Amino acid sequence: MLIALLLFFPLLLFSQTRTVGGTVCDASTGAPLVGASVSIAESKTGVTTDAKGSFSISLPSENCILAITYVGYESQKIRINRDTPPVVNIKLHTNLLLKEVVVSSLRKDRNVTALTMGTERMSMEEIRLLPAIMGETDILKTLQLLPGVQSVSESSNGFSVRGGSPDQNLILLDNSTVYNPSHQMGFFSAFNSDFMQGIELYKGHFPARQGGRLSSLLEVSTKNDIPAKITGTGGIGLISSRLMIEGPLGSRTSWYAAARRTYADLFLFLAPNEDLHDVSLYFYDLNGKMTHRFSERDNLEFNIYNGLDRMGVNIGHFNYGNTASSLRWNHSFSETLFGKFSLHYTNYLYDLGSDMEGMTVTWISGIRDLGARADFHHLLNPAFDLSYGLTGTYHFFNPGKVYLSGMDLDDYIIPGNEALELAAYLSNEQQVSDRFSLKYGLRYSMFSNYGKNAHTYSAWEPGLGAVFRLTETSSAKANYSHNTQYMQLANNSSAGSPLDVWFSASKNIKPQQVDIVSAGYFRNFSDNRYETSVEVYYKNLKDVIDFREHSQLLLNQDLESEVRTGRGKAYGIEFMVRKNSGRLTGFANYTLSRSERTIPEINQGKTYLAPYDKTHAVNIAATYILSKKLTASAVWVFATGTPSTYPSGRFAIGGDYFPIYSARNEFRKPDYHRMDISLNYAPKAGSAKRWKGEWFISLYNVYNQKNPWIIYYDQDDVTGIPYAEKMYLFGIVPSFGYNFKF
Amino acid sequence: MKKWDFLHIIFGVIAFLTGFSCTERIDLPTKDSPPVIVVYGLISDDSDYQGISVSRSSPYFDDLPNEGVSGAEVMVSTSDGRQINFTENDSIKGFYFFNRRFDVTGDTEYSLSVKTDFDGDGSLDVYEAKTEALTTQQGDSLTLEVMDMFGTTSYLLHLYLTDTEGDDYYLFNVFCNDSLLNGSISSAVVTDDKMFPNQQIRLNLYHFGDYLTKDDNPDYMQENMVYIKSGDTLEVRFCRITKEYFDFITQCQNEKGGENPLFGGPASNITTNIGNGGVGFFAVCKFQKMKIKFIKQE
Repeated sequence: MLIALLLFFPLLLFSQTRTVGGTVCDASTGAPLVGASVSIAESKTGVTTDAKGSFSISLPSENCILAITYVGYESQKIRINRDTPPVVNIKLHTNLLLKEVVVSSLRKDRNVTALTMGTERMSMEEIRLLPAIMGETDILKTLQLLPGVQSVSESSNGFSVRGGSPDQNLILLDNSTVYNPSHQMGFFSAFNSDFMQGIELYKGHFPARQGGRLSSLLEVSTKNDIPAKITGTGGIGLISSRLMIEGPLGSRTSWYAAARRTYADLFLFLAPNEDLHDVSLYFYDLNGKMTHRFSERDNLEFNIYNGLDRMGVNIGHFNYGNTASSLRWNHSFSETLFGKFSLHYTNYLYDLGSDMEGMTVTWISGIRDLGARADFHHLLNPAFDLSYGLTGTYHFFNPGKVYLSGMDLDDYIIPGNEALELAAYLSNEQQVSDRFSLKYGLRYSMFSNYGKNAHTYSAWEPGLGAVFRLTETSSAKANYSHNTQYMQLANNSSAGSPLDVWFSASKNIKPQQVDIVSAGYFRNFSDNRYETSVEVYYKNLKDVIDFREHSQLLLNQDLESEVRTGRGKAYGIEFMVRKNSGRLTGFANYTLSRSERTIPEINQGKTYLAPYDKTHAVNIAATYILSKKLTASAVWVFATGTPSTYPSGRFAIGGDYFPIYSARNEFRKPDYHRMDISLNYAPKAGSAKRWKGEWFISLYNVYNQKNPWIIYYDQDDVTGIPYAEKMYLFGIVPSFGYNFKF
Repeated sequence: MKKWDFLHIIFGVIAFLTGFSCTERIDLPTKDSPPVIVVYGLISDDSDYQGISVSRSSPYFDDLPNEGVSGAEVMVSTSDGRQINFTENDSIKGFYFFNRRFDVTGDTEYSLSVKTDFDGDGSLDVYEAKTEALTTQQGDSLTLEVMDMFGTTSYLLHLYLTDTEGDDYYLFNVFCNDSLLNGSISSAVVTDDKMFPNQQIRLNLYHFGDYLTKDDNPDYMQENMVYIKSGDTLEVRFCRITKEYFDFITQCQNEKGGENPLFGGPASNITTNIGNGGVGFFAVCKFQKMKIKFIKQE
């Protein structure tokens, strides 16, 4: 039905008013300005620019004035008349004084006006100013400061959104899935901050164009400036260095390249033990991008990312990494119809090997996707701001192949499978009145597994959002979404590991589903300088998976037999206060939540807390401009300890003691809290010189809180009696470094 | 070497190089579960002295060792009609023994019965378990491989074994000069045949240090490693075990230390074949033996 709607859509002719589209970018760098406000004074209507800085707005009359505003930039007004072309590109000039205090690229009143709830945006400027462990600016760790987003483990890049598991998050880098977004067993993000434009997180209520996960959509966008000359940014830190260069190639082509590498292993040749000289221990990532503008209406983008972690000693190695690539054609069919057509490739692979006495073992596993999509944005009038499109992804699952050579043994191969995931969607944003706006959409998804236990599933995934403008500065919103997830990670541990394998829905494993409802009140103060919000949500999960007790998830020929399915629910309330301008900027948020699972064969069928349930969570992040050259930042986080299963009894055999448990996740780890601070010093701030450097110094975990990463048991050497011990990863970790741009 | 030992080495190197993590003892807010009976016995043809322990479970962090259960009637019977009564050791409370060689017959069912008034209500509670003794094939050969890693010399004891038809599970006991090196459950070496069904496999059973270079090793290695010298006799006694016993041993090893955030699953109770709410295990093994004498090559 939806396809029919799409096919016959051109026949659905509504009375059209004229529209104007284009881009808003920084006048000096050409960087697109995401979330800039484009409004028409006469009609009091407006839109915001998207991740590419693009906008399209319906004009109430042939003559009107377009007002473009963006925090940190001087506003512009453009008179529109019948001679104005349908595409206008607007360049805003920096307001230098204000630019220093930009912490957000949101439209000033977006908090109140946006239709979608549970959406968080952060600009790289905001992210870079916050303290980071070992000075490594980390998108995913900063994300964990947002309400409803929690780290799954100390210093891990895995994150839980509103009680969901990490594999319920769809992470896209320029629309290509990144299956493992971390380096060094989860300690560092796979995203090089220099190359990134910003992030947008949807906590359950996805735009209809995306789907396939239950909990969240994280869209990471890469730089998209139009550089007039070769420029670069980079940094030298304690554990890694990085460099990003961009420049023009002729008048219509722009290129971008970035690289980052850690270098701990480069100093191992200094170790007195010669065997350590051959140890490999590093990660790198490479980013590349090229954009060619054929005309005002057409441009072509090519993106590629490759990252690798390598650990190796003389008898074995462990490598893992992602490749994500996309080719996208953006085309403006008319002044009201925009299209984006793209091809995507992603590959996550790990390779584990040993080589001893001529006998080699190589274990390879991963997942590969080939995808294509067509997305259209059709702005007819304020009542019909349509988005529609088709997507298709072919998945190749490789759960594990072990190749043995030098011994008379057969290779150990776990048959892989392939699957096709298709979706069509249609959504509309409708301004019903000055005060009331609606967003509604429908996504139809289909998943066919062509491997063992082949099966085809399909689902309708509706979404509905409404915003009621109570006053000029406040609104009430409500959203509903139904999401379906067809593939999941075989991960049974709290933090996850690079060895975890993805597996698909099949005849035996139904897709997981969730219904999410949320409502909220949003209020801005002092000309949008302060944003506040409170959101409540309730999630009802069906066919949610867990694994049987003592399950074996790696190299298992019959992985599906380890899966157990049941129901789950999660609910909570999130409070957020944000200050957007002034010397002091930042935010504070508090989340009260609960997440549960009920699975018949686990915990004797009794309801238990989901592993990522955290009752209370508080995050405070602040940046203070001490002077033009000096900026200080601080972060404080608090979260209730994660649910844990502790032994209530023990039995002894020989000299060994073994635990007896009474219920799953009936206890909690100690509460987690930590403060980080940093100081940035830019000696040439405001200077006209091309080379600009900035020193930073930071302290992670200022008050040396010993937050447990693992709690384990051992026996006393003398008495043999068991005791518990906690392992904590970090005490105070000081770091410093130098960032530059030219 | 076990199949993931090289992984442990890699992660060990990471830990060594990063060196951030620290440990300290912690008090956990647990509750105390009521006591249950614990029965454990591994009967084999390998010894003239067979033992079965009967004890009580206790709160996990109790300061006292677990208490043995005295006065129980402990008996093992076989499907071919034999019956053996165990006698309680006078000096070790809750330990029941049978001090004659036990003739284990392959492919025979063995039953354990423990009768005691465990709950103190005046009537006998009966705890039973059944298991099977499986025949075990001969090994093909036993060898020592010299390893040079991180500047030290060590030795890996390999057993070459040809797997038999069907799903098989093996237990290996390693001896050095007649001393059992891995007698506890936590140090038991077991494997299944999923990776090498019906094929010959080289099993890496034990990692020995070189006695002559012992002092070159760090203290923690000296405390935890067995060092061998020329003339030492190394022996492997191995047997096929049931899947249930294999699961019991691997679960004990996985659960003993608590959580592993990267590679472990949620904490879970260890499965048992002791009935009526008891925990522990009863198993019977028929061992095969192979020996090798270590002669250091100069």
